Amino acid sequence: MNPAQPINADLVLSALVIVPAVSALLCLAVPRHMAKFAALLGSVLTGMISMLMLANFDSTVGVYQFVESYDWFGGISWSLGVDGISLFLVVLAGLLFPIAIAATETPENQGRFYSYVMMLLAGSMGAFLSLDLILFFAFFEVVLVPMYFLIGGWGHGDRIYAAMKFFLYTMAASALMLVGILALGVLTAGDSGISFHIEDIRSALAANPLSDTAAMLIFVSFMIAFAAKVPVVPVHTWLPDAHTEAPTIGSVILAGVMLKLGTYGMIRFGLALFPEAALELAPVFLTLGVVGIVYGAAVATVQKDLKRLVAYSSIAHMGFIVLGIFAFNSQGISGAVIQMVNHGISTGALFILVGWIYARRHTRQIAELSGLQKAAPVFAGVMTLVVLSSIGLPGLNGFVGEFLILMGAFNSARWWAVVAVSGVILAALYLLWAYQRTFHGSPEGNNATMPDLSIKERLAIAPLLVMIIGLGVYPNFMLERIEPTVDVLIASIEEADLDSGQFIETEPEAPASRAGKDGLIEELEKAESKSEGYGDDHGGDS
Amino acid sequence: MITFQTVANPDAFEVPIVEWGALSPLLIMALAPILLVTVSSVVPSFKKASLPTVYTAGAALLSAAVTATLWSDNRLLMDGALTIDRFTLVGWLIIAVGVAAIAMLLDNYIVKQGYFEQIIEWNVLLMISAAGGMIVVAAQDLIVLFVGIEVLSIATYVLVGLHLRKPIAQEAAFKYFILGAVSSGVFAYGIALVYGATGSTYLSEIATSGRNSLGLNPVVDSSLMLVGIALMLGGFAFKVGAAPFHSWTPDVYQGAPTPITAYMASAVKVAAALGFARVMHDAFGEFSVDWQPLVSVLAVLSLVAGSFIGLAQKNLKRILAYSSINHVGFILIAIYALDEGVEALLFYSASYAFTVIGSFGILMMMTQTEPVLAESDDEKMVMIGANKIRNLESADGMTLDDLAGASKRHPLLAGLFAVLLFSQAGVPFTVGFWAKLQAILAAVSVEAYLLAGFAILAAVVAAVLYLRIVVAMYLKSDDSEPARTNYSKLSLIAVVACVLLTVGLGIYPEPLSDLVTNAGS
Repeated sequence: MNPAQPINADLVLSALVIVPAVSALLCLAVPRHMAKFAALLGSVLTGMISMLMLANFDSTVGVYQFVESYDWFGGISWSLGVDGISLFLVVLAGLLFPIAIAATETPENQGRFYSYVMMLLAGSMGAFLSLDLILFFAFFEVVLVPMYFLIGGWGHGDRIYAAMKFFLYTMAASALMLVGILALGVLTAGDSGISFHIEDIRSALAANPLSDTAAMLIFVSFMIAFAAKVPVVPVHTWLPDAHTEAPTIGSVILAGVMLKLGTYGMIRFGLALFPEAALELAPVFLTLGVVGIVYGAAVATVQKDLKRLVAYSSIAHMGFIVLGIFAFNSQGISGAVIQMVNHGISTGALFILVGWIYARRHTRQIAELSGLQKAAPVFAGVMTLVVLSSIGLPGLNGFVGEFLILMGAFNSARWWAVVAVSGVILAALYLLWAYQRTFHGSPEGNNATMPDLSIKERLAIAPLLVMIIGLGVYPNFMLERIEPTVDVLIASIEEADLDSGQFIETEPEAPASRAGKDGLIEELEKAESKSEGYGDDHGGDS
Repeated sequence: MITFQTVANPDAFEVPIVEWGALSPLLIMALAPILLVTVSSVVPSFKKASLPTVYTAGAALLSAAVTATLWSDNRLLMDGALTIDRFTLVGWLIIAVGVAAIAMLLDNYIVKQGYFEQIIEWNVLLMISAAGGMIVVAAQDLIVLFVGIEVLSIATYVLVGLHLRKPIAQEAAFKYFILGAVSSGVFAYGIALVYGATGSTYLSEIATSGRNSLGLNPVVDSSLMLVGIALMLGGFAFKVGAAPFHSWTPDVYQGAPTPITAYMASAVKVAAALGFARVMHDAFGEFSVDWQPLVSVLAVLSLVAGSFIGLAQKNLKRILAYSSINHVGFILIAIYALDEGVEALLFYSASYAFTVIGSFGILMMMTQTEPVLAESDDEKMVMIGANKIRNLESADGMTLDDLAGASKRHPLLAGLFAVLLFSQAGVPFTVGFWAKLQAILAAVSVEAYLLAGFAILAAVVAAVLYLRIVVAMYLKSDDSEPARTNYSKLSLIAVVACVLLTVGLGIYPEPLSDLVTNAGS
């Protein structure tokens, strides 16, 4: 097996960015009524390329694959590569976009609409694949523009406010990251000049570490940007507005793909480059993650609007991902990556279904919906499956990630994990309760005549249902491709931990010690027995 | 008088060698207007259709092309009064190309405003002013610099007031003139003090006279020097429109004919900024410890004033005026960074110039959908009726609300405008992103992290300025129908070229980046 050298290796990843970018232009160029077709074609093609990449991905090594690198200018390079962490996010984007386009109604001015959608695809792909920090930042920022137009132009209600808030919130949060990236480039510049390639920076940092203050400041500037994107709780307020007012496809993409840019960035650029700073601040982010889980779930429970409910559930699910990342062990981070994908699938599906309800009933108010199960049994069945997946029922995809995250967190950050478990129960509460109120009972008024899923809709949602079941039954498909990369990452964090090991011995309550020592994928017992000793200290922290 | 001997021997005055070849871009820009005014007075039929515009744009582009042929030159000209180096050449290129674009915008404006009879004057003044700007960029001597600034400014005062029927333009011209004259006076006083301290007006000699080798009395001379630097700094700050010397900018930008606003915001500002950088770096490099804090304060104030005060504006030209103050903040950061910032300064100036020309150009074209009668009897009537004034020169009074539905009335122009606005906001894959990135990189390189962080946060606030315009154009519901477009093809070409540069250099900035590298002075 020699899949590391597949055909056209040096074009695959660029194609993932360029194909949607070209089809974005095409959407504007073709006659109005053809735009959706052009977008569908472009996104399907992108999805197929991403599958091709998946098929040729070498699951035995934890390095960047399909790497391509061209000088751009001034130390910035067009460097793309994929590893276990980004692999499934790329595939997710490749699959979710065509589904979302097929599953949603064609709006007015479809030329511009689909052009923005395809720009989002190009931008998300670019961000997941970039190995150059400036390139990453460029993609990370540029996706704001099409999303801004999608929300502002085709949204509901107070759409301009929501669009503006979304744009400014994320732009402001990521502004300092640019200074951080530039400072990092300048500080790690060697004789060969400045470089923003992640590997160059990593090796420069390994040879010549930054001062603790500099590393901490840059890490924080990165994390502010990512935290707002995720969003982590104190900076989450843009999300409910953006999701609620966005058109369905915007919500699907936002929840399914764009939020992951934040958590992906945390792993790729936060943990990987600044393990020590990350270890030091781990308690903060563990706490924020857990707060997100509980807060998101609690607020979701009391929502009256179905879409807003799903939006808040996203905050809770993303909280799990943050928890997993800062668990600093293989289970936690692998679980976080898997959860990113699964959240994309199940929340994407939820938004599509809520969009369909809105298209049929012109309301999303839970109080105005009832007994839909009687009127639309197939719809109800699909909804049940998706809701259960989102809750994390064993056997469905949602379970795998949450389980791994909780396991990982339990090993290294026990008390946080204990609190986080409540989120699983709350998820069952708010989702099932919402399902019960809307689908059970007897249909009143217009609810009785709600049409069931059409053939087209069934076909559109089917791939997501297949993934929900397939990845739930056979999660190893993802895990075996993710793990090698995560192991490499964990090893580098271990190293950082060892470097600073001397003083950690004297400060056993420092979170660094427990995280690193039991970090690697090892037998659970071993990990557990090690972390046991620190359990009491955690109690003091939480 | 040791210093003078190196320059010219007073006993045996020699005429310096004039290097015609290296001076030709400047000479073209200076002589073309004289030729134009001569020819058009002898041959009245020259004033036909777009011929003067094509002539001006052609002369400017010729000047740019000749500039490009000098690319590897690096020497002093005219006995050290001017210098040809990459820095000068990039500045000349920006000014010359800018003038070509402005002339093409004027083509639209002059006809629509009923000033076709005066089309020669507009173009002549434009080129003369630009020639002054080119002197400013190349000047290696403070007196030459001063002459350049005056040529640049005086022609611009007239251009601002050349719209005779418009009181707001007259007011703007007067305001600009009074304040400009005062600032020139301050500037000249600064030159005098520096000369007093160092005994020379040559930048290189001022630099080598050094902090501790200032003639007989280091304490007195050093303080003379510092006061001189401060006064010159103030003069420059006025010319580039940096806060707190910016108060004229919004009024003058609003009142001036829109293409002239574009000219002031682009070529004039760039010329002043490059002259500013040249003087500060070349002459006062040793005093950077003294003036850098002042420049950083100017930068911070400009960033704040440009973004926050801009938010309070409704009028579009004023919004763009404040946005240009915000851009000055970034330019000042590049100047602050000394050698590290030269490339950033040139990159920012170049990209800023065509972005802003395009923006004002589109604003002008959007408002000129109805032909205006140029009958002399009607002109006074048009001035009095409030509605008709809006039709005549609506860009002056155009507010955000007037833009509602612009995406439907002018789908093409709105799209182009949005691209330019996003570029100004610094969205990736537009040239504005790379420009801001370079400026901040320059600041980070000299460890001015606070300044860098401040600049980027101010840029986020400034992004609101641009987003509000985009919101007005695209997101405010309006039942407008596509309007009958009635603008000059030449103007459209200029604007489209600006947008293509913005996007093209945004995706592949290498050409512009190559252009400005090794420009360190």
